[in-house]
Amino acid sequence: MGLKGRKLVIPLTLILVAAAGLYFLMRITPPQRDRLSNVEEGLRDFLAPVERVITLAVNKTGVLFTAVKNYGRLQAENQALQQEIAALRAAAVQMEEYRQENARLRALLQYTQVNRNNFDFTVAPVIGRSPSNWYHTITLGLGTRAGLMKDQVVVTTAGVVGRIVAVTPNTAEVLLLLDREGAVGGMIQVNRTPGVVEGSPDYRGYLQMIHIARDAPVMEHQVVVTSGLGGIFPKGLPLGTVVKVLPEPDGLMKRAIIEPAVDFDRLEEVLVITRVKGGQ
Amino acid sequence: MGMLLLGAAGLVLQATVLPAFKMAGVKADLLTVTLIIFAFLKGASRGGMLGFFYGLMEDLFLAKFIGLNALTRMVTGYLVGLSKEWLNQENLLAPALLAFAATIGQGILFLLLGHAVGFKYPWTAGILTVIVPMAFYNAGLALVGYGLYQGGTAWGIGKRKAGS
Repeated sequence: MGLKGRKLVIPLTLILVAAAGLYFLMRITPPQRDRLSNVEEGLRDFLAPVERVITLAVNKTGVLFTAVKNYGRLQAENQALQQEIAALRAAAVQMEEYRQENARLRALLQYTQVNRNNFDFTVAPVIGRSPSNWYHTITLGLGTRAGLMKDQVVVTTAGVVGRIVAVTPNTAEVLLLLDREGAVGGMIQVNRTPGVVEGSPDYRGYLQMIHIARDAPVMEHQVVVTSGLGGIFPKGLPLGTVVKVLPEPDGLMKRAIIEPAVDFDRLEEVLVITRVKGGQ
Repeated sequence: MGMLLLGAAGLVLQATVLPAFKMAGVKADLLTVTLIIFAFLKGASRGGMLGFFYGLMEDLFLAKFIGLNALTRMVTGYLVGLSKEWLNQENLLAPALLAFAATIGQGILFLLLGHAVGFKYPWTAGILTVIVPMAFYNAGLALVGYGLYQGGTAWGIGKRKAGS
């Protein structure tokens, strides 16, 4: 064999040996084996942390890329959801308003049903109050167009509010019982002791019954109703409850401080008595 | 015109929103507070004039004793306006003290004139349950209002300087 032949035989032999060796390795390393070789195990265990770190990095980068890719869409979606939440919140508030209004109107309706033999009523919304601290008035959102007139009496289910003192086509001004000009004839319900009920100047927010004889049986917790005297307020409407009895400086009379039956700070709808029927 | 619109807005707020924010049984008197700050800054004649228009507006709104508030507020605006010459306008407390004193003076003048025309509110109750609480309320509001005004003015000046 010449030099050229030897040069060809050596690599060929090496290839054949390698191929045979690899074939042998393939045969002894099928996928289903009882255990991996030491070399395989060592290599796997050595590479495992590296693999873990790289996979983690790739995953995170993927998430980041997805987030960047979706940012615009998510932002728009977020904005739309925020708007939807705001709209739903507003709707919930509105619903609560309707629910409360419904409850109030139901109570007023029930009151009108109970008293339909005595009075005709018109429900009127309260749209404003006196801007001054010197007067106690409220403004109703109905006027002569709705049949409201001066001196008509205004009530709620709790009791008397006051009377109309000025009226325009679309509004009516109601002088509250709290005002000193809004005096009304009253009496202690249980023993019919009469007196004049008006706003108390020194007990702000309370009424007072004045001109009560010193020996009159007036005491705390007694209910005060309208007496019907005076011609404007029908008889028997609740005015309030006596909370204190005070002697007048002249020594002959006394006065009673009355907690009003109506919460004048929380009037939203009121009933205007547009007609008093027989028997009152 | 702007001040009149501000007064009208104050009047509507007093009739609608402010009753929910009563303190010691009285609600804020935005017209008085605005008038006092304006008069303190602009002087007696302009204060008196604005007081007259604010009062007239209120009288027409209330439809009672037309002229009663016009006169009392005019006097208030004029007298408070005199302080422009001798009170330091940088002093935040000045309008609060003026508001306190002016509310008491205005209230007493209102009662006095009221008695003359038929609005006979009891003196002691009027002073103790209306005027004094209102004076404290107005003084507090004037302090806040003037603080906001000064802050707004300083901010405006700063912005103009930055722009130029």
